[in-house]
Amino acid sequence: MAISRRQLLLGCCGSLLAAGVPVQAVPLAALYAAARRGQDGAYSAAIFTADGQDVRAIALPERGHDITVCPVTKRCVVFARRPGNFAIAFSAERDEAPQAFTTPPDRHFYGHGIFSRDGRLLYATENDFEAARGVIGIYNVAAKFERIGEFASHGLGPHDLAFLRGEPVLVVANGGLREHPDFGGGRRVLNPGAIDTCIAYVDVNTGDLLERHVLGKPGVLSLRHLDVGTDDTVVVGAQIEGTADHDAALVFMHRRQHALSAVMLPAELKGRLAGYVSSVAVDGSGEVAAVTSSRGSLTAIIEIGSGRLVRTLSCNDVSGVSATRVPRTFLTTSGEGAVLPVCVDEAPAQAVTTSWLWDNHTTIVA
Amino acid sequence: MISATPGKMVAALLLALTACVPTWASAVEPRPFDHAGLARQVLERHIVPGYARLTEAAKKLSRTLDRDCERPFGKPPKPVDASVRNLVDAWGRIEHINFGPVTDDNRLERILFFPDRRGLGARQVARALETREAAVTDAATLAGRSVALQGLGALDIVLYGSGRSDSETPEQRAHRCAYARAIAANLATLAQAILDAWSTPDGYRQHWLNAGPGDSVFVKPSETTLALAKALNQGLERVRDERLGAALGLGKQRRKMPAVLDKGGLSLALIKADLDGMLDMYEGGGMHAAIAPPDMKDDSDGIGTKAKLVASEMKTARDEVAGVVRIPSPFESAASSGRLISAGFPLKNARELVHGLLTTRANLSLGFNSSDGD
Repeated sequence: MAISRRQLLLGCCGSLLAAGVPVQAVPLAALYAAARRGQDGAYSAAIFTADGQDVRAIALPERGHDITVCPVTKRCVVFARRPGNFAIAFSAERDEAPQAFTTPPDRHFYGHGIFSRDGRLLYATENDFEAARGVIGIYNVAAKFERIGEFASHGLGPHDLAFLRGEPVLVVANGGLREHPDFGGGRRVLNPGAIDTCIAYVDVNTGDLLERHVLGKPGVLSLRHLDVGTDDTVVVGAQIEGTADHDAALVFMHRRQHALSAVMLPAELKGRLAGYVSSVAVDGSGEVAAVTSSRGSLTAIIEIGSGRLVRTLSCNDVSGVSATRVPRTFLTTSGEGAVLPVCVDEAPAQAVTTSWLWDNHTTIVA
Repeated sequence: MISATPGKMVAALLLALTACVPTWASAVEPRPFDHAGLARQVLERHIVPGYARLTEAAKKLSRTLDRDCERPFGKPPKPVDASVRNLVDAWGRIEHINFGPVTDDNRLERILFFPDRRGLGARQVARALETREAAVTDAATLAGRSVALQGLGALDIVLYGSGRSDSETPEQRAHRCAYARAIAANLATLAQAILDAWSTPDGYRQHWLNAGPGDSVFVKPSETTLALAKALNQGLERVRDERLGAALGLGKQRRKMPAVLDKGGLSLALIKADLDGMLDMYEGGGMHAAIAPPDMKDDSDGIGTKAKLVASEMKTARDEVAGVVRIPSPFESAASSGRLISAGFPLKNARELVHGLLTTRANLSLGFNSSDGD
């Protein structure tokens, strides 16, 4: 039986295929970036097309996490995942050598960072582990990413961060986890049951705390990933650490001067998220957000304005999710090699199965 | 856009087929994986006996030190040496259990602080000995000090390293022995606390044996199996990459790193015990039988063969290590380091095999992100 290329590329997302739903081709002529692991166990970071073809790949010394993209030059920086201390800048231009830099010895990265709007500075979430406090490291891009300072993240265990759309204000998800590289490889939670998570709005010009919002008393929930939508609505994904409570809300919306509000999801969906939101992305229009759960093998699309659940899709070990150039459309990636476009309003798209185990996050480059 | 070459098409075909074929392809319907049965068997045959052995070994060392430590010696007398080796062996055999009460109060690091990235143990222990610090000679006060001053790493330095010599004054020797006794007593306390939590009906044991929707720690029956799978996976990785690879200069640092418990030449004794312990969990603890029940007749899917291979690969690695366990400086000698390097291959195979088997047979979510995300 002849097998067409299109058939070859139908990937791992069995629930879509098994249902016999016709697939929809999605033209996503853009570049994306993600960290990953190869079949040989080696770690790398890549800029790739929506059909999973590498444009540029660089080797990583250890496992990476998120990649942030300079809004001016489109240069990427991949961060080590916690408690790693390396970051590497690279671009789609093959003749441009990657540039590695590290935290000071008494800090480590948390896997996330973001460029300033003019591309001159890079901000990264870091752990001042001896003092058990979160900081935002500041790196001078023009000086080979020399670290020129830091300010408080105004919380413990800062993880993801983003700029508000119209202001020099960073919104930081302080996960609330106390960790130290000497204990459990730097990944053991040293304050189980007393996780003091919050989101903090910080003026990047002064480091001043503008607002800080918590979820009541410290407990088991950790706010970890976020993205910013229209009108600076912040969509936040949470993870349950330790004791499982699969009824807890895991997706929150926030606007400044308001309290954090839980997105009310159908009861069965809470269970399917398995206590764990892996990644959050807002689409190009700023109207809808996608949250993934690798433990639940699920992507859920939520309308930001109403908090309404729009649709869900199953894909094994899905985690990375990025906006695309097409409004109301996302690109997702999985730890089983799938690169899968997800359209809000159209039939499920075709998945490409690659040989890469795509890591936690995927981001659009250009 | 890059066009697909025939080679890429074939590769894509293989990947696509692999991804789309159901993972369980046996003609015979497999019996359900007995998560609760495995949890109970591992607890009764492996975990509780392991911590009981550790507790007794620490107490035995305390007794031996009371009797023999202060005898003049250039190196510890044989009874002390034997008791230390017995304790190291007992810890290695249960070290892979990296969940539950051993993670409370930093007990893992207090039993063995390794890797010691900044050489804290050597510095802090040397300072405590030089200044004859009183706080380290009492188990209760030692328990509140730096983790680098407690545990097997500190004991290795106190008994086998850092300034020990025949020319020590009686006061120096008395302090050194009192420190060693405090370490042993502290280890006994830690081991007893862990053992109690696994043994008493209202301790951690009740969560382990009652996994399911009503439990607050293990909300699904499969979560106990998941904990065991992760423990075995990470234990095999630690032996291969951290304990062997790093000491051989094959780790990510690409230079030789200090071996674990190297002052007393106990590195390979611990590594061998690590492998013995994981093998015991797999065989005696019932993981092998849970994956491939002994009365399973049909092996057309290869599950039974692969399950046997996991044990065989672990034994191969264990035997390689055992063959050079008494060689001084085993990471330096060409002959012994060659054998240690060769132990890495079966360890890698065992790890990959058991990962695949448990994913398939126990329907565990051991995905790249889902099992170790961030």
